Amino acid sequence: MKNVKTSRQEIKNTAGNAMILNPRNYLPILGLALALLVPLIVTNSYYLGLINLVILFGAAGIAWNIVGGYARQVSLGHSIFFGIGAYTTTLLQIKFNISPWIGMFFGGVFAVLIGILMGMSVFRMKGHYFAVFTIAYSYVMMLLFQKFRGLTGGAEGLSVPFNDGSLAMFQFSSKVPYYYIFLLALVLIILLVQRLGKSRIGYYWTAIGQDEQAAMAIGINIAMAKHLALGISAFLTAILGSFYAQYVYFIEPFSMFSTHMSVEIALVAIVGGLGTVMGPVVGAIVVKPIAELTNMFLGNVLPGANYALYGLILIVAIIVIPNGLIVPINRLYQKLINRLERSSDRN
Amino acid sequence: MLLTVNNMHVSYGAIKALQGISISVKGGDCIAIVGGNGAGKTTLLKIISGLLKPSEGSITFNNKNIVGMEPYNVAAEGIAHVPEGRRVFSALSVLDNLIMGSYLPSAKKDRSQSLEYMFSLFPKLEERQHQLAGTLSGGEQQMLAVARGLMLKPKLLMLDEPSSGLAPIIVEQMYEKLAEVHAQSSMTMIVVEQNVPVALSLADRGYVLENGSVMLSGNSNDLLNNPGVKEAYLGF
Repeated sequence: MKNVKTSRQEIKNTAGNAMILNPRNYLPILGLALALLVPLIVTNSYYLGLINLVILFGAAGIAWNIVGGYARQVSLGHSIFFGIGAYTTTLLQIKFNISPWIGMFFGGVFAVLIGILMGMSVFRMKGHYFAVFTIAYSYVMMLLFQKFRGLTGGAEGLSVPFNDGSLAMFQFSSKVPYYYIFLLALVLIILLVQRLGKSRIGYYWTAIGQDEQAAMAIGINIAMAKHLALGISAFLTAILGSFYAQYVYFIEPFSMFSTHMSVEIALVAIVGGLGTVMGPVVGAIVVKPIAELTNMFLGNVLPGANYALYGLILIVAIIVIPNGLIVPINRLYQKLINRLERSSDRN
Repeated sequence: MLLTVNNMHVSYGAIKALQGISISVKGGDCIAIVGGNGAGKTTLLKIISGLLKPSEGSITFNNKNIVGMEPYNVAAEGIAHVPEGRRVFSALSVLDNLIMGSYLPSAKKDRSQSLEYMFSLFPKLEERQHQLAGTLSGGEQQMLAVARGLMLKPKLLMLDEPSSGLAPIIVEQMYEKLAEVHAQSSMTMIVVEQNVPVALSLADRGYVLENGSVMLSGNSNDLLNNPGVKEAYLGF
């Protein structure tokens, strides 16, 4: 019996007898503390704005990873949920003066409903077909939001009503409060997905992602598990979409429901590491600034070359580190932990 | 009868994979389903476990009609399907693979007992329990796939080509283990094989499939001595 212990129990045991002195515990806290200092160091509003987008897309990548990474249902239609979140909160604000803090949950629920409807058809497809169908759905949404002008404002888009800045209405004149709110959302999503990944449903998703037939054969209700993955992912993505709307103040269907938006969300997870918790954060830290810098330096000089260079860098990254940038970073992190543990043992 | 498959027809598009197959399995029996490529062996298992839907025919398991049931409901009824080609979850540890096999409520309560049994049956798996399943050798992966199926505590264990792609010595070890399981727990088993002699030596009875129909059936010994079988599958 001595060896018959689940690995999860063992993880709990090692965590249980570890104190704050264990590097596994204090390193993440140290990292968070450093993150809290960022707005004091980065005072340039342009760079802080870029960092805000890194955090937002890192969080969106983690949300995407639930369905795209763990369950390996590679969605290229997540702009649907992002856009629904953005539109729902903005419309509730314009028409009924409902605070985005409340509106975002309506957006989340609405996204889940759309996700379930979508799932009923797209989950009949596998692999590339699945991806193509999710793209098709995002175009349908884009057209719907362009056509129903009375409700959605049509192709001209919507502006978030300006109200002089207040926490209650999720509106600030400085970028610093956004930074802390986005960071809080990121931390919460990391903690949630970490928990989900180690739960029974997380293992179901991993199993489905690895081998769907084998997962079916051991009795997993795969339709249910996939819908749950898409539902949770859609909810979180919609919340982040409403953050985005509150941050950029202006949304229009063409960019909100574009495949470009979907790809940006998926890409941070793919470059960072599929099915890992921190991968998308690393992915966003790399991908977003590259996109921004290539655009800044080449966008005016040689329009189009920025996208080519951006694409080239991503191709190289994927060829060199196919399992994601998180892999070498994890290795370094592990080394650091080992070294710290050894040095504390000596003392 | 624990399992009765009656007049099963299946088509992949215009191609008929099964053309009126009927088999029956008594509780505690081990039966072999043998035949060449494209005979319909794998299709038959997939039909039983609900991975495929038949166009015609009935399946009764434990006096219950299970045709058209979803795979997870079939598994809950007590049928474990070990698919062909070592379908282990390679990015999960050996232990997690085994635990994945016992998430159904009926299996979960006996999980630690089942784990102990698996580790006594396959000591290699205990040694390597924390290794990723993808890093195991081919034979070990096949053992893991079988053990994962057994973790379900099934009433019926269905194995699809447990010998495929393994060295002869490993095949022998694999079948020794299967015989052990069958003898110790009188587990009802269906073994699908292209390796006819090894499957028939394990099984009590066998069915020989050809082009989607049952060509021959009977006691394993009779089949092994049947001139037609000898000529077609044993090569002498």
